[in-house]
Amino acid sequence: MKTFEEKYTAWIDGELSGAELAAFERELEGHPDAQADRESTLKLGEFLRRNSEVAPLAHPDFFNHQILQRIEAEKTVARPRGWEWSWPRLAWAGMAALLVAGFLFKAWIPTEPQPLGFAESGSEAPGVAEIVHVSAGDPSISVTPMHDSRDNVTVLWLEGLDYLPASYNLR
Amino acid sequence: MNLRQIPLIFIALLAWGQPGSALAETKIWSAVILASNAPEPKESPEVLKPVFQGLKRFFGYNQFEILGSSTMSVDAKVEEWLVPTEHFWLSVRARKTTSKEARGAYLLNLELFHDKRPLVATEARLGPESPLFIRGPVHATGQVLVVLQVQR
Amino acid sequence: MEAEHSTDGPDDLELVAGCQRGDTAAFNTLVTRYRNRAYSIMYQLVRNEQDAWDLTQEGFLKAWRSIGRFRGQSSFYTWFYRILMNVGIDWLRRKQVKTEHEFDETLGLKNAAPGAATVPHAELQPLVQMADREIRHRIDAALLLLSAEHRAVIVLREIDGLDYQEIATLTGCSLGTVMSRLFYARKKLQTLLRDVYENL
Repeated sequence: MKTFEEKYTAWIDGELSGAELAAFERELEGHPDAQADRESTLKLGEFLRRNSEVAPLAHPDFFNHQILQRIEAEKTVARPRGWEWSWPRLAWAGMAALLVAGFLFKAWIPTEPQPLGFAESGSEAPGVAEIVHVSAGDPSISVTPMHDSRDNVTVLWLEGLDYLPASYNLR
Repeated sequence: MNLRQIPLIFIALLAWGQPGSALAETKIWSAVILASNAPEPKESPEVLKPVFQGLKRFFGYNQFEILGSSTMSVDAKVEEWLVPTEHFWLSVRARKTTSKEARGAYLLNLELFHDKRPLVATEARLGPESPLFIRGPVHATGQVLVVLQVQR
Repeated sequence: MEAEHSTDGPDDLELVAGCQRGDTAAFNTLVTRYRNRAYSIMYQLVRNEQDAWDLTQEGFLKAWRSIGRFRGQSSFYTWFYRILMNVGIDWLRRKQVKTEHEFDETLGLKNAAPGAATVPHAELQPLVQMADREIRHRIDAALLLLSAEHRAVIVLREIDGLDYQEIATLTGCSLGTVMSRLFYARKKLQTLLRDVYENL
């Protein structure tokens, strides 16, 4: 059973027919403004359509480029690595374990006192910029950290920022 | 060679590359830049050359202009500085990592503002061979980006 | 819900199969095929170039991430369009500030005159003098006052020209809900814009 609002919408859009249309038109006899309202609603739709032209996507190739870059960056982070043990690999793993042991040993050597204000993090990847923690300035901004291994760059990708028109002087 | 000697060899190698000597002459370069696509791009500033390919490949622009930059040497203590531009402000607080955290890197507290609006706050580790970029808003002529890199 | 662009070259399902094998070139072709249409509809929804750009990209990325689950039960574009609408509506929900003008859908209007809620508040303006830009500005401002759900049905119905069933499929709600939302969204826009469109 349709509600009044549903039937009214369907009536405006010409989606009622037959007995349903006749019954609803009888119901509308108590609403003398209905016909004028229907015309007004149709005019509104026409007005919205006429003024809905959108400028074409600027720099379309760049648009694709950014998407593919992000896919590549995500692949770098998410790519699963297959692994099969073999004797040469075991030998290398043994060497690597020794290296790690060396690093751990080195880590126990006392170092200079740490200034306050930074979170501790246990990563041992000195060559890569890494995001330890991030928070957006307000809820409309979203932040995605990503890493591109090809150029070894880390990017904080902010979205939801205001578009700056040409009149906005950056210099 | 006695197997028990191996850890001692590693220790000797590690002691040879002390963090102090490795980073003695490095600085952090931080900048707010405007990236754009130009039919005849201007030559990139010398200081941007090490990151030019990375910027170009990742963001797809061919021209980069520096809106504001700062270079800071960070020794044993915490250093704080600002990269001011007309509308964007990058606040940086940095110190060297200890060997417990990561050798040869810096820990940074960054805050990026658009006028008075905070856009992002982050804590990041900056490696000597790995720059950090922040993608800011799109401008009609290009895009605002932030670059931080260790300079030798 | 067809793409308005030429679909020369492999058809969508072949490209989807390529994507499912991890072929980003196939996905690039799909992005090229649908980017203008997707951007246009997203712009209608969020009314801001930067946000429309970002959110359309987000829609494509979500499609890439979940393309392994696409089983071909609808066309690629219908499937993608639904993802895109969800991205846009979620974003609007997060961003939207509730306004006191919001209609209460729990109130039945059975006994109310259908035209009663549409009396213009503002003085009539000489529309002949109103620049196109000002008209667009008025539409933007009026759409901003609609809830995410109401804005979506108005854009899909009045601007994109979809039928009720298509809107229901894309927004994941019933046919009745689509019609009801359309009723209230239209009423609100009539209230906000009647002084403009009635005098053109």
